[in-house]
Amino acid sequence: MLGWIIGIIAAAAVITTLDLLENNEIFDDDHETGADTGTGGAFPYEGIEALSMDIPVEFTKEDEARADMAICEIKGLLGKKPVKTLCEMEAEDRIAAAKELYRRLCTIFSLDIQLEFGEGCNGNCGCYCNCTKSMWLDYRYLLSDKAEYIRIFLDTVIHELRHGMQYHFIMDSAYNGVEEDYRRRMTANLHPSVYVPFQEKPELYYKQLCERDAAAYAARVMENLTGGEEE
Amino acid sequence: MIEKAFMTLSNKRLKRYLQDELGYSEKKARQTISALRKMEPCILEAFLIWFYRAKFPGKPLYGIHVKALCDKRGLDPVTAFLTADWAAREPQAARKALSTGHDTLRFGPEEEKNIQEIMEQNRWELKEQEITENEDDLTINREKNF
Repeated sequence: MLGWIIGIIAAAAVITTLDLLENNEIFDDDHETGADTGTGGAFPYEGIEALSMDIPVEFTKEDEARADMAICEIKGLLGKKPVKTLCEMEAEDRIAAAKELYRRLCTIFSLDIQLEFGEGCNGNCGCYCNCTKSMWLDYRYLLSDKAEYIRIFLDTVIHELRHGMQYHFIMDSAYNGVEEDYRRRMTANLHPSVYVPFQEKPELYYKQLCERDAAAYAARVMENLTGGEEE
Repeated sequence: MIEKAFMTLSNKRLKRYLQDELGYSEKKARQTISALRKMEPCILEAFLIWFYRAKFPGKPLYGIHVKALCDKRGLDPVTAFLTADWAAREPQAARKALSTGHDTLRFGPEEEKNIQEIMEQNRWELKEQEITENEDDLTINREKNF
């Protein structure tokens, strides 16, 4: 199966100019999004305590150490400006680099997860499935001619691996030394009847603990990678 | 002369639509209706116009094209209007979140059982959260001067 997926990617391995997110269709460019003062309306949702939306994201020393190692590995493989390096690569080289990067990150995070590539829709860049221990990424972000999309690809790699870490620490209290209350809340959020997918309620999706945790972890890595990169 | 124009949608009719047409569960329908009651009035009005006339707003709401959220992000219309309400309350956070793509978690058939086992092994509880049900109609009260 993995060999078949690689074959498909090789056949489609060209740099793409697609506008995958189509943000200009959704947002009104004339609307000034100034200070985030908003209308002051009340948060409207009830019955969402299990999402732990008010709990701050917590990273242990082990989490941070692994993130620092990930940053070193990414820079070791792709240089001080990894997004720029990928932008300058041919498509097949980008795929090879991504697979090697993935292999190294799994080692750093002590995860054994299979990688799959495919084409998403509706702004879906990636997916993690704990039952099959696999993650899926939309390869078109990696093969894009836009630096912004390559950055999204790298961010999504870390984001999905962080979901793998979340499952790891809820099952194994020794992994990364995560505090019990955080493990408890994460476990509750990862219950299939609790987790809110993006299509169900975008606001709850982004604010639930497991997604905020994964987003913050990826942001921590990306800030150290792309801070100072020229666009 | 002041003429009052009411736009009203019964709780029962809306709930039936959410469950029968959009496949919402009972809990999700109640949660959604509760959230719709708290929307910005102009967004609620646009939602009611869409519900009765199948007509999406011609202009963006708080910088968001509602129909485009349905077409480009795969949201059902009710969720799209609620997302516009999020953009009204937290413009920058909503825009940043909606413009950078998202991911998803895929669950297998044993996932619920696995999570339940972890909860039991650690003696943690997953409490069922109650959602208060308000059976009043959704109403926009507009006054027009003639």
